[in-house]
Amino acid sequence: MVNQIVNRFKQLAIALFIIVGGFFFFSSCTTSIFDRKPMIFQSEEYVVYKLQEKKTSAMLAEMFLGDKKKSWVIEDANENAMFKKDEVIVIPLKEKNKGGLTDDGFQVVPILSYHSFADNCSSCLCAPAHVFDQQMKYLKDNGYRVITLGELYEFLKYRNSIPKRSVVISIDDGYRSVYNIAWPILKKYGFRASLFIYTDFIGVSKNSLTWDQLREMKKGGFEIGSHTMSHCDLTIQNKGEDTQAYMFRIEKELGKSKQIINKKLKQNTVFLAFPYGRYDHSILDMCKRLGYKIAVSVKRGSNPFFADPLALKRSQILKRDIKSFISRLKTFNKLSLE
Amino acid sequence: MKKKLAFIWIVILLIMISGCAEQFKKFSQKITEHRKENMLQSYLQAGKEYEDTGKLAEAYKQYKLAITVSPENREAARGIDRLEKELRKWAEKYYREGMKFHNQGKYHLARRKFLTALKFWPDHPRALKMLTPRKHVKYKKHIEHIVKPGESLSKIAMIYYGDYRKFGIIAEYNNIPDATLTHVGQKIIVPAIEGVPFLTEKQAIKTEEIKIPDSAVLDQEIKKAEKEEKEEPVDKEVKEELEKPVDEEVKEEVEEPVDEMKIYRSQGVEFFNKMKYREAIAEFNKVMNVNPDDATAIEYLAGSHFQCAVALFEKKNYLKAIKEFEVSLQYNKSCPTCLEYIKKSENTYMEIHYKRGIAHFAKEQLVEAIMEWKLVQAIDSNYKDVANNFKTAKILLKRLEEIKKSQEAK
Repeated sequence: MVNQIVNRFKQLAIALFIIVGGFFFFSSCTTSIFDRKPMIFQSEEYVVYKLQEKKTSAMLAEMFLGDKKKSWVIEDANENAMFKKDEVIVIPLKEKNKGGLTDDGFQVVPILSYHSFADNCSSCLCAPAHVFDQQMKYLKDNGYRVITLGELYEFLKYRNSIPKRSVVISIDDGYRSVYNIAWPILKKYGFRASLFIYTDFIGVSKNSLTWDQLREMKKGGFEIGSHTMSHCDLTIQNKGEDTQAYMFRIEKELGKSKQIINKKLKQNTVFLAFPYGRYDHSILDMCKRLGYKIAVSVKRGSNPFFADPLALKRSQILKRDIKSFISRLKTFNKLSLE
Repeated sequence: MKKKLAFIWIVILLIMISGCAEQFKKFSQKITEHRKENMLQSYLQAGKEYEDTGKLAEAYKQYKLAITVSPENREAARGIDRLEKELRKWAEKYYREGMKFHNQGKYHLARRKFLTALKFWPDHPRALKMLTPRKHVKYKKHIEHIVKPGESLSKIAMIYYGDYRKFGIIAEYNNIPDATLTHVGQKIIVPAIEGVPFLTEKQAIKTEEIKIPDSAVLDQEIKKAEKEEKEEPVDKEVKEELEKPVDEEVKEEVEEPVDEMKIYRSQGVEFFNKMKYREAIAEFNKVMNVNPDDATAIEYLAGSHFQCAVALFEKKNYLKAIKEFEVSLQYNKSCPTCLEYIKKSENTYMEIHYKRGIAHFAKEQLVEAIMEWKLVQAIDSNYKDVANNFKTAKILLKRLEEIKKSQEAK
């Protein structure tokens, strides 16, 4: 009796073992049909990836380009892609179109120029907070990508490509309102700006930025460039000033402002904005000698990759209506290259 | 018994399952292969279509994607090879067209060609270089020039630099997109280039009359191009150029005979620009041996000898400086600066030796004094009081010698 019971148990155990084992085998069998291997092909220049599940461009950028921030490379290469299951995504691994050239023309980069900000103000050099917010929202909603001057420089040197709808935001002089008003708005949209400060102004009044504030913004990804020491028109020789004294003064405006910023912010200052946007050939020559890499004017327009980095165009945002703002956002220059 | 039965069951089941798994694996592999093949074919198909419609860069990309999916596919590899050659060829063609426009001073048309070259082949280094010159040449001074009737940028370059080919410098300095399109009354700023003699405005008016055949030819060419451009819209011209077979053009350039003079000339210009004037003179003399009327050589020889002369003048080697200035004058007869320098050299030379003579005279070193004044007289016997002094010194010397003699006799 006892034996019989034991035998039954043994039989049951064997049957159970067969069922469970068979189940495992079957499951391994079925997974190989239903759970397909991912289809990823990779060569030196491209990755071709058939998605099995929804992925974001940032995830793919991290996987294949080693940097989440390069998601724009994948987005630009797969326009209109939804990154859904079964979609084929092409990921370029090498810098392809460094100049942004197509059959219809070439890429250009607008540099927007602001000065001060306030909740309410009337001067055209001052942007009311709600207007600035609206403009930044427009950039975000319409697929514009804010890049830094450092990234722009790589484009101008024909070394790296940049996102298709790239824009640079620059703010001149060094008003306190950059810290109080503009920065929070920029942060809201994940944008960074490039500041041009004139060193005589920093920390001198309650309207000006302090070096500590500049350091803080620099940590937040802002770039700080020079706007000379005293914000004087570099092209004007004073009355009674001989040429040598004039050149000496200009060299000081450009060179010493650079030195001061270098020391205060522990950086190498290579960006410059000409006061009033004014410059001439000998000033450009001096900028180059002093180690500036990018210098901007206020000549309206956008910049192609072959623009002179020391005489870049820049569009001042003086009017407040969105229409004129949009008209400054030219990111492509049509010219048949077929 | 039952145990045995159970064992047999297990074995049979195992065999069945493993067999099935193999089957399924093979099946799924086939599906994957099929999908891969589909992708490959769609890329190849797209590549062909783009190639047929002339979108070469796009076609090239499709073949690259095809080879990414299937690295051993021969069709894709052949496509890549073929298109690479094709793209390079087109880039080179556009680059050459760009250079043609550039040399004519039609910078905006040239730029378009260079951009197209880069579109075909993004790593065309020469096209890129032409698009991004970015030389911030240091100019010490510049002169405003108002364009007069019949004047072109090349003529103005001839006036100020003595070299019509330097019109590009003026065009770049003034941001002129087309050097052939200047108008009378236009204000142009002409910068002085370091190492190139720069004529002042006063002299420029004189030299305007110089007629140099090369310059005239170039002007004519430019005018002709201008006319052609007016007659036909640019796009049509560009289109027509596109339709020309590429090979023919390449052949033409290969067959062009080597112009040795050209080489000497450009070598000379290079030396001149590097301020190696002696070397420049040697090169231009070679040109002159072949063609004694070569305008460029003459201009540069005048300039080179002038520069050498100035260097000698600064080293206070006045006699040699005078000789060099005289040679320079031979090449460029209207060189008032040369004449001024010669006069200055002579005067300085005479003044130095005149004073030295006086110093010797004061120390009663009559022989030395006479020697110095002789040098002065060799250039101008009427310089200051040199004639009288010379006479006095001679008389004194004679008397001294007589005294010496009489003492010896005693």
